[in-house]
Amino acid sequence: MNETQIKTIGIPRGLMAYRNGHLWKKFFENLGFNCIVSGRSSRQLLDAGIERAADETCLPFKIYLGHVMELLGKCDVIFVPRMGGFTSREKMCTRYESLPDLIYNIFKDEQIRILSVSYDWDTPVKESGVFLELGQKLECKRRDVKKAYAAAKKYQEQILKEREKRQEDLLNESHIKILMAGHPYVLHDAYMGRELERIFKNLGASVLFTDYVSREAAVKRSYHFSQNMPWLINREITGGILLNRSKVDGIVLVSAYPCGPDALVNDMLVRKIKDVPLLQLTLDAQNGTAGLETRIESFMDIIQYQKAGGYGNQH
Amino acid sequence: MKEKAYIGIDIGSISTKGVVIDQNNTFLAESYLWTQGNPTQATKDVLHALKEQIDTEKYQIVAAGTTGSARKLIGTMIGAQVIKNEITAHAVGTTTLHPDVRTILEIGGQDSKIICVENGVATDYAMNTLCAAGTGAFLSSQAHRLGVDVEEFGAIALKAKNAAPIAARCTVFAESDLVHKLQVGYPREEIIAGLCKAVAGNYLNNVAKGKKIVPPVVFQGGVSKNAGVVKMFEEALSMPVTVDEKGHLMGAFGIAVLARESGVFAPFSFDVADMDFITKEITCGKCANHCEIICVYRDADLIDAWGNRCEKGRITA
Repeated sequence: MNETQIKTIGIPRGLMAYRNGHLWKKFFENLGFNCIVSGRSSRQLLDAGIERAADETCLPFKIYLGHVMELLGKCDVIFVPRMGGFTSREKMCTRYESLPDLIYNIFKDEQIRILSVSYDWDTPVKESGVFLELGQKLECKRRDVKKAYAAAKKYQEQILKEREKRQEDLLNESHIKILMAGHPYVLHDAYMGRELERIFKNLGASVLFTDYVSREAAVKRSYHFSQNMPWLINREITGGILLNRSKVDGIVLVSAYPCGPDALVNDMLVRKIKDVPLLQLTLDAQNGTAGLETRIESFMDIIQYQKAGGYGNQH
Repeated sequence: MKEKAYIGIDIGSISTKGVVIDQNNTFLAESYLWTQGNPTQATKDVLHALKEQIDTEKYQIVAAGTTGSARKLIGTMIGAQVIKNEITAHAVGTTTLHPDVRTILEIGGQDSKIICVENGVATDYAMNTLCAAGTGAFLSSQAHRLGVDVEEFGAIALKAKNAAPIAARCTVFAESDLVHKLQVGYPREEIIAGLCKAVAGNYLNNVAKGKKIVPPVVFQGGVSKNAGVVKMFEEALSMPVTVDEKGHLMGAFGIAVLARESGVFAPFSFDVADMDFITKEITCGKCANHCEIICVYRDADLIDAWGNRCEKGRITA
């Protein structure tokens, strides 16, 4: 790969882009590259992804493939990082560890150019080190890379802080407050979590998210729940729930089918969280939202009638 | 002046239920028939049946409610004041008739659910998510294979000394298991008892997984009419299981109670049963989501439309 010819870098709007996308985009832009991010997920994009994916992979991965396809021909290289995690108890799902290889093989015929870098949990590297390596791959000067990373990191921190603040403000409102708990790429994808968010809001609820909570505080809190749970994102989700469980009226565990880490962790959460109404929703590639609407409406009824002290039939 | 009455309709995938109640929640009329894939026609038939049973000189229906999977369509059609999900409708109906109930088990034609109740209000629920194994549709198809009417299942199952072990986790496996049991010579009643046991076991291991089943337990939905399944539930739970005589109508009853409580009254006319309703499905092409939008027409006039994910697909009457 001749990195010097790279002018435009494509970022698929899927998977960890929903967690680290701002950092990536700003970093590349600070180094003088153009960045394009694929559009919002849609049925068409999912269908395109499904066609290329193995049947048993998860819905978010199928959607991710759709996003990669949307970028084909529009950029010089597609950024697909290998995200393993930084420590052995704060790892990522194996899907992220293999992501560049999967993308490379799935799109072998298209001969797509992938820009990648590894976040490895088995070697003691910090995030700044990962970005230094990435900058060097792009043949940028070490000093420029350090500066670009520092500025991008600051930018991301600011966005995260603003989100936390907005969420804190929501907690003071009198609406029914629903905490949506799940992987960021499920919660905020237009075809997944945002559909749920829309249904809840139509029913008059305020919606909060587990990823709009300080990541550090959430991860720290998750160790009260489990010492040996190996997944970073599930730690952030768990911590986000524990820090807010007493402040919200209901919690919805949103998972996309099939998710291995969620299957284990959510089952444990359901068994341990007994003081707040809790709903488990699993999203799949099915068309239509009627089933979801019934489930959400029933859940909202449970919360509202409980608050009201019962149905009118008792007097 | 006429006495006030309230109508509730529960349109499920397999059956459509309707009731009319008075001010004191007393049943004035009831109807239960097969949806047969046509919720509009089934509702019209239910309305005709209800109309014949009530004294229109004495009662005036002032509020209507719909529930079940076709609640929105039928609610629009009959101009219902209350359109609510079946979980709430069942919880309200059951707690009205059984104020002390703590757990509601429900097995219908194509789905099943559990509702946990505390102090007369639902606190938690679960619905089957993956398939129809162990529901009424499953029992009907197995009854057909055995050449027995599904209505006779309960009585036959109670006669069996033992229940044949049948794997009911999946309909496909259950069916091949059943054939195998027949070939090796199990008596028919033991197989039927086995099916009933499998339905109860499947329900407790799937839908009710992780839920605490606290007595008093009320079991309803079409399958509750099967005495064999009731017995298997009682054995598995080691507690009595109540089946209400009106259990199959509980959703319709609950939504009628909610219509009464809504306080929003407008005279309801059975004339809707004779109007022409047509639904059309359009695939919206205004963005990449291609939403399926359902349009409902009454006597050729568009009265409502839904199914769009965004404003672009909005169609107004």
